[in-house]
Amino acid sequence: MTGARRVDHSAGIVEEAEFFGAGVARIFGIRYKPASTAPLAGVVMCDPILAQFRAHYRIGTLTARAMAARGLVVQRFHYRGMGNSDGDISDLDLASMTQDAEEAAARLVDQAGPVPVAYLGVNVGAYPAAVASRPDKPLILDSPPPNGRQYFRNALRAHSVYKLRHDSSEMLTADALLQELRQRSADVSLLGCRISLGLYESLAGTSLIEEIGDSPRPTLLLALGQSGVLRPEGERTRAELVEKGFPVEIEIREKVDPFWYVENSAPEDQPDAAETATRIADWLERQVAGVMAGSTGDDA
Amino acid sequence: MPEVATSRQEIPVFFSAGKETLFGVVTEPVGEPRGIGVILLYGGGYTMSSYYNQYWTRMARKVSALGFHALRFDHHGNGDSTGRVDAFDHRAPFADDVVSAMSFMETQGVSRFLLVGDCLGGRGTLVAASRVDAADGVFMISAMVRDGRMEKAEDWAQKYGIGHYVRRALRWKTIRKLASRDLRRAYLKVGSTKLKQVAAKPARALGRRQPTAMTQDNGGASNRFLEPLEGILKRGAHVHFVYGDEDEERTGEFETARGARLGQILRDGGSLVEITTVAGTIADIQDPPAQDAIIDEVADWVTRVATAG
Repeated sequence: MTGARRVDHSAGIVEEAEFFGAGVARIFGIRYKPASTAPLAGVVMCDPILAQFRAHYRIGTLTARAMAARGLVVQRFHYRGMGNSDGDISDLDLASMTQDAEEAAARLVDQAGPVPVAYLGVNVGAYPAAVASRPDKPLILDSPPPNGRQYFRNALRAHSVYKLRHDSSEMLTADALLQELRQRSADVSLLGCRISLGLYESLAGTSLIEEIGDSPRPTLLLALGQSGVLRPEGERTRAELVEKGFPVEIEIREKVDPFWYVENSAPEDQPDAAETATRIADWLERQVAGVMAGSTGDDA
Repeated sequence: MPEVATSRQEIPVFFSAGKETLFGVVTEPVGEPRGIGVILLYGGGYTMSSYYNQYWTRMARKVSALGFHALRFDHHGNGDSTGRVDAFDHRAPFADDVVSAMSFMETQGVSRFLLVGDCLGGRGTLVAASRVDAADGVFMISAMVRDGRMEKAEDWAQKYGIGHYVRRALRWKTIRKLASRDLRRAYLKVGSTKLKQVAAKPARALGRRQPTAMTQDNGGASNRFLEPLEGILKRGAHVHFVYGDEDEERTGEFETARGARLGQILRDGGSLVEITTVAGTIADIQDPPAQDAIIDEVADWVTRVATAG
């Protein structure tokens, strides 16, 4: 491996940063694993994109470290066309994101051994996670937008709020965005992040339920709600998954995710990372135990 | 020489900075190495060293195609580094981390440095350059001449009037949350920051000067900015400022400061000093075409400075 390795003795974890991938354009990734025990399971973390990539980044780092401390091996990566990876934003769409997630999973197994692998999709990262997890990998969905149209509507809203705060009356609608994207020479961005027509079209016309497929698999849904009740958007996603026969567990968060903007409070003070890691580790532990029990013919 | 490098020239690295471990990516030069390292540091806020639109990734790869080593890195408490950051403050601009980055690059065959920093990162690279003689120049993107500070408590305290906070403090939901030590600490911080802001208003109205590193004589510029700048120019280091032509506030502060001591420092610097503008905004969320223009300007500048010796 031409990369870097860091051992954190106090947290009991190891981090390995590297470029990987067989193609011309390589993927950048960091693997987080327990320092002294064999990992219980693997998690491929599919990050969000555009401005959410930056806004979520530090929280993602802390969550990955916390999961490794709980005995999981976590493979985080930057999609090609983003971050430290090769490629250009014009290469990025749902198909390329899914392919990168699959390559990240292969890299995890190659380096950590044959562990059961789950996919964790954060916000729109839930889409490549959903596709890559077909047909039988456990799936963790963190605040997934129900469909691409709504994802872009939220992005446009965040973009407009930012513009208004900066005394600009420039309002971008979904129609205007699409029109701009269709002009070949146009340089289109949302909250400073370039987007391409290919990316827009691959996401705007689809939904999470469509991408997730028909093969029921264990799913953990982390979503917003209050007093034990999911918000309508999350509840719809849960109900649709259950209708498809997915065994779904939910974890409700009361806090509104600061997904589009970077907050100035230290992420270390926010309980989300540690709570998310604990919830995922507990859930995966049960899934792995269930699979092992199933493989020995034990129904318990 | 290829126009840009790729990940094939890159090695992720972890290196020490005090008690923390910082993450970075070294881009090795394509072709004959010049022995000069270009250190890249982003501005304030929780982010990562590649940034959006692969801004710093592209910049590193572009200069490495010109024979430079490049290092983009996360300061402590950010990206993939260890540690924590509570405030992004021009009075503490991560200069120690930049010095550590230079020390690390010396182990990679580099003996001279050119530093590139955005906003708070510009201040960090400037202060670091004033401490390390091997730094031959600083390229500052949208540099702030005054001391800025970004912190959650200040954001919140500025957002609402004092009545809002009193009403909120009396809510049952708020009182219940006081059971959490972290939230207690956060509430206390917002409360004390708000009180400080309220107390500062009458003092300002009475013309009392707040204790600060800037004086009216400096045209609003901080001594923490002026002194390292003067120091490196006297040493013969090169300095480049770039601003966005739509960033009126940032550019206005710079121009006001140029009417005072800053102007003299820049005049004394002579041909070592360059000031340019790019179209668009770069002070907050950067326009992608402005990012492209800055990458080109950095590539031109490092080449010229390296050639000038």
